[in-house]
Amino acid sequence: MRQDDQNHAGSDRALGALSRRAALGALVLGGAAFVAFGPDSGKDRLRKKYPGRVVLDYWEKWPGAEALAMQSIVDDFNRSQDRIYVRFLTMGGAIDQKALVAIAGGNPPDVLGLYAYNVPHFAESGAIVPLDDTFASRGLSESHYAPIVWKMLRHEGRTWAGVSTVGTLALYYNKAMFREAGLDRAPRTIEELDEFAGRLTKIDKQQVAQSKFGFLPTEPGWWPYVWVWPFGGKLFESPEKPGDAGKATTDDPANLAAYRWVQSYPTKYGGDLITAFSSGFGNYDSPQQPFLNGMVGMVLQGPWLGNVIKGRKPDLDYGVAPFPALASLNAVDAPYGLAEADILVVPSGSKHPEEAKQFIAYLQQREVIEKLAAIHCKNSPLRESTPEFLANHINRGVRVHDQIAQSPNARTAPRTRVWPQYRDEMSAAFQALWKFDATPEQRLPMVRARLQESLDLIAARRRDRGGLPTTVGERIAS
Amino acid sequence: MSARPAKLTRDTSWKHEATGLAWISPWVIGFLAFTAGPIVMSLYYSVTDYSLLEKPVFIGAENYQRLARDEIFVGALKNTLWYAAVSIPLGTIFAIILAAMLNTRIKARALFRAAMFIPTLVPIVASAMVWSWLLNGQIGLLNQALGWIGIKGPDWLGDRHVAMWALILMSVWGAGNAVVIYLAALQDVPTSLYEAADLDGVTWIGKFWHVTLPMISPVILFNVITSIIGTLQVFAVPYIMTGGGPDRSTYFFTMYLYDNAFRYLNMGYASAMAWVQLVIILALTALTFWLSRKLVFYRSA
Repeated sequence: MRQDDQNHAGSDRALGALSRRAALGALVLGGAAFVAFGPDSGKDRLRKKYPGRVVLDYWEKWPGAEALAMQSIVDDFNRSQDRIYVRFLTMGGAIDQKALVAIAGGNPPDVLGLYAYNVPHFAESGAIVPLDDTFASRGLSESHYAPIVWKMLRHEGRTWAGVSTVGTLALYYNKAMFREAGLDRAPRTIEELDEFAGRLTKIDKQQVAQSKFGFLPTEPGWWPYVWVWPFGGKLFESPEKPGDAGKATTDDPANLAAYRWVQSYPTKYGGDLITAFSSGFGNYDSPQQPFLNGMVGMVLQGPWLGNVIKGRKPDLDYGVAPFPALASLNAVDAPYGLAEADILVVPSGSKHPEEAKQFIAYLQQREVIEKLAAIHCKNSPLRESTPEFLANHINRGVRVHDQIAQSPNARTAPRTRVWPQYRDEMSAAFQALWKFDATPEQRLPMVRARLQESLDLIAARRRDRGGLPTTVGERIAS
Repeated sequence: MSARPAKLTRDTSWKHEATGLAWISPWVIGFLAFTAGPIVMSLYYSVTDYSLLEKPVFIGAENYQRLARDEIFVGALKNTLWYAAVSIPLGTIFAIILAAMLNTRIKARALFRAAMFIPTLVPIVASAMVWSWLLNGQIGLLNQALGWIGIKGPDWLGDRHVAMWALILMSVWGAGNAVVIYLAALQDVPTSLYEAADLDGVTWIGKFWHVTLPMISPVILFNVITSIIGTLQVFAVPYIMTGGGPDRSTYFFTMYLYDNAFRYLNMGYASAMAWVQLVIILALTALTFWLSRKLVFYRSA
């Protein structure tokens, strides 16, 4: 019996050892075989398909139709020469966060599509490489771009990005509602805006959803900080010297006036009533969007609204005008307006930075940039637009958007790396002011103090680090 | 006799261990690389200024000192503790009552049990979206229902004084998981105890209070502790439904941590916040254990 047990145990052990060994061996062999003979990565397949060409990875944020538009531009580029092949990859939202992780991890794409407000942080951190040489060799300079766009491509005296698209914000107004109220043109000053809004507003207290509003600073509510500029205010003063802190000017007297004006709307019409009215609004890209269905007569929007109107309500009779400013600012010929841009950068650690720069330079050409702007329904980022671009544009107000881009009073989000925090602060402050939980005089100095602390801290850290490396690569080497 | 077999045994046991380790190595490697490593690194980053791309600069306890005077952090911490203090007891009471009801002999019991559990199966993003419509101030179903009985409902998510309550309401709705656990515990209570109580003429409230609750108290403790851990890390629902607003009235600890780490790129500051969060969770868990000493009844085998 004991003998039998031993035999059994011995054979079990042998079997067990064999099967374990076999299983582990098979696993290792399988892994090796997968590595050696497994499917190629997409990039390898492209290298085989286009021998002799450098394959670039280009990450962009857009999904859907906007991505298809850029894909067609990329296809044009790939056909235009035989040295570089660009693989276009849509990464979706939060591309800046994804890119930061990829750059920090040493495996970034070759070309990256970011937002213009990302430039200060990426540049100061050495996460992107400067493009000055490429721009100089291609004759791309300030004179090629709308002034506000050129400002967005640069930081601390260097050029860090090419532009892909830009949009400026303007006032959209419903002409049918205007006619009904006896109005035949857009307001030219804030004072007129308020007056026109009053004439367009018809409140039905029983059936709040049946009311109509002339204008609401909360619609669409995407830019809660934008109101300071038409009042001659400012959010930030850039530092004199690169590396210094800069100054948050959130409680500038003109800003306080702007937010008192914002509060005048719930004061005049009743905050609860506006809230009840607004809660029935549909999504931006739907026929229930309040400007499209005639619930709100005037909105601040970008040129892309033209695409939505064309798709959702093609018969809407709308006009576009610069957003008015205070009469005392005399801004009719030099309108105020926010510009937002999508930009292209070369991340530090790109395997083929020269080819990446070449691709970005290709995208800066007038015909390429206008093709993309037309499909995206945006104004051109360049100093001059071709007559064909303006004439064939989906948005009938594209000239107004272009005028704002060329205006000395066009504005960008503050060029500081604390902007995401600043924007959140302004958003929370707007909500508090709208509900009268605070006055501008109470709230805005608090915002300024918090931001100044962050700005000072960042400047101090820059000094601690003893200046900044040019690229992440240099940082790693040092 | 003694030396050789002993060596063999050692060899065999080492081989066994090596084989075992080889088989679990994917998990061990994954744990070290993706959990233990980041935990240790975050402790280091918490005493540095670190933005992900730049070299971390050692700054000692400065991040922790800044947290103490950061009004937004203090506000988010207060919101989180308030949310936990209300939603955990409310959710526990609601889940126990539901479980007790489902434990009775009612018709279509299986259907009710399934209905209770279904909310936990709905993806959190989908349920948050549905709730934001249900709670819409003007066209939301909740306010319409209140309207039928003559109550004018508030703008649930737009009013800073009620938005937190809206989120608490939603958290209670998702109590299905706890209900299932309580139901299992209730079914484990020996019927002999109820029979004895019946013989003594105890009312149903008395039975619930003196028999049911003590018998399921270890399960309540377990659920309360897991709720403390989960609730103090609440993120997805407020992130989707309110974005922390209005005016940060529903801005929670983990949201501020996320914003600092990935949006403001203050990774060092966010790491310090994560360690403060861990300490708070550990302290509250320890406190709960201590408070439960005389309240929880463990059946001896």
